[in-house]
Amino acid sequence: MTEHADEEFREFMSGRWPGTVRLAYGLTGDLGHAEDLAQTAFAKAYASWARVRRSGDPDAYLRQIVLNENRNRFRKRRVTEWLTGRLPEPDHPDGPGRPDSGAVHDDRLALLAALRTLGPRQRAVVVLRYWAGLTETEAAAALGCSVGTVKSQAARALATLRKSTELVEEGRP
Amino acid sequence: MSSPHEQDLIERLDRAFGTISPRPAPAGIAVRQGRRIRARRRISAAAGLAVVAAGACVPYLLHRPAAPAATVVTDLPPGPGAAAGLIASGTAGGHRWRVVAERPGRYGEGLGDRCFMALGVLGCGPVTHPSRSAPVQFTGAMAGGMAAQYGPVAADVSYLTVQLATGQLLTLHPVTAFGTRYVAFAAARHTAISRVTAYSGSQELATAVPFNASAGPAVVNLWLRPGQPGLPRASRLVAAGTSSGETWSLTAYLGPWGACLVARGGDTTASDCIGTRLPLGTSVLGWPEGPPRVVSGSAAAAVTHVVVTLAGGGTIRVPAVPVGGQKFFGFGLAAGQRATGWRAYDPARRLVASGGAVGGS
Repeated sequence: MTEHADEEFREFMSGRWPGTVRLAYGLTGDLGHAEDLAQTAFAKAYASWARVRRSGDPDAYLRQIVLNENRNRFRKRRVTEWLTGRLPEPDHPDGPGRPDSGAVHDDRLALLAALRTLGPRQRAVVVLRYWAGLTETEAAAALGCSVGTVKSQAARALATLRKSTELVEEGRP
Repeated sequence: MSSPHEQDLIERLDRAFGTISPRPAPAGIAVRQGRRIRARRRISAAAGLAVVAAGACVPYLLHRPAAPAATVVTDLPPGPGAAAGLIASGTAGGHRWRVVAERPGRYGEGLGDRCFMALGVLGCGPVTHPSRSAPVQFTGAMAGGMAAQYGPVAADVSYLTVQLATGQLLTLHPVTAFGTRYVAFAAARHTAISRVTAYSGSQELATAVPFNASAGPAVVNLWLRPGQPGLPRASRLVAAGTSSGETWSLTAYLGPWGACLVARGGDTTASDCIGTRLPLGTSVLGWPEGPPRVVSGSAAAAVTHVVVTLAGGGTIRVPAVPVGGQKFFGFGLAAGQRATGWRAYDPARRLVASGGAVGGS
């Protein structure tokens, strides 16, 4: 890779890093793992930088790597990952990543607890549709499923979240 | 147009995720990691060319274990006063790791499911109990630069040895956590595991040669009794193509680990090992998420080809490819595409087997 391309990648990464970590956080529910996931995604983007640039939409390409890497974390059959509201280990107790306001922190935990009730596919649909702002067609392409599946998964996710007491009662600032 | 509930969710997600301030972008680390990935791809491509030239050497070269890394692994059982559920901890390549069995029910997992914190990542799933034919049921997990294996151990196992490709031999002693005996170990992500042997006293019970996938943790799939021969090593490209603008491929690897299929598509590599002994009948084995989704299947010896009917019309005809005495087939599905059914035929075009929808979400 030329020095110019290298520089271009570093600039790309520095601009997209926070958003990519947030996307990964939505998928994993753990900041440490989200940063790992984002770092691996950027490393893969660097390894295919020429292809990423040629794609015409480097953001979509990067997002796809994050989604694929997230799916690859547990490969052995019959293993699922659970998103939990109770973080098993302190999430940067005194460092960056700690929300400034207690109310917002509570809301974040309430959201996490509510998202915990969703399966990985529904969680990904929620994050892509309602946080990343993808259209149903874009989300379907990113997840490798039909638009109908995105619609039904989103509807089911919303119904589950609507029923979630954590979201309704605790989440209000 | 968003409903009020959707709009509320959008705002709350935005607010919650907006409070996350990640550490500064580790551009230098990502660049170094990216260079290593590129270098590995070049080595794989060079190995592929060598395979074409070498012909008969294909199976071994394609499944050559990762080069030994200069990594020392320690595996320590919990000491006095250790946290409840700790199975093992240690260091690998200077990095600390630990594997903990979580208190049953702590994460709301269902009956029969168990949660483990391995390398700082929570994994939950149904527990498969060990048996005489599989004295340990390992699960693999990966995080950062490490890969861990952990699982329940049969009652008659007194210890295990794990031979790493680096030459290091680990000895694992089962630890009881919440009423179940477990073992765990971890090593650097690309350290191949040569074999795992379970002992009862001084008597060898069984040995497993794991499948060391090029990506993902090793899969400890089949256990061999002392003196029982494993399958000879063989590998072959079963199918390849382009779907949704991405190239994909399906490769079968047979060996003492049993049969494992590796699907590659886009930036995803997914490996799955078949938990039963060969030969297999005719069936669809699975389709990892994509895009593109690569559907894999096994076929009985009589099958020559499989015809897949796509939703919305059209068919695909794919050959049943022999790999070391077992036949496999594969095909790719583009984003949103699904198949409504498949039919397998013998050389006389007689129907041998058929199945229903494939590739749905």
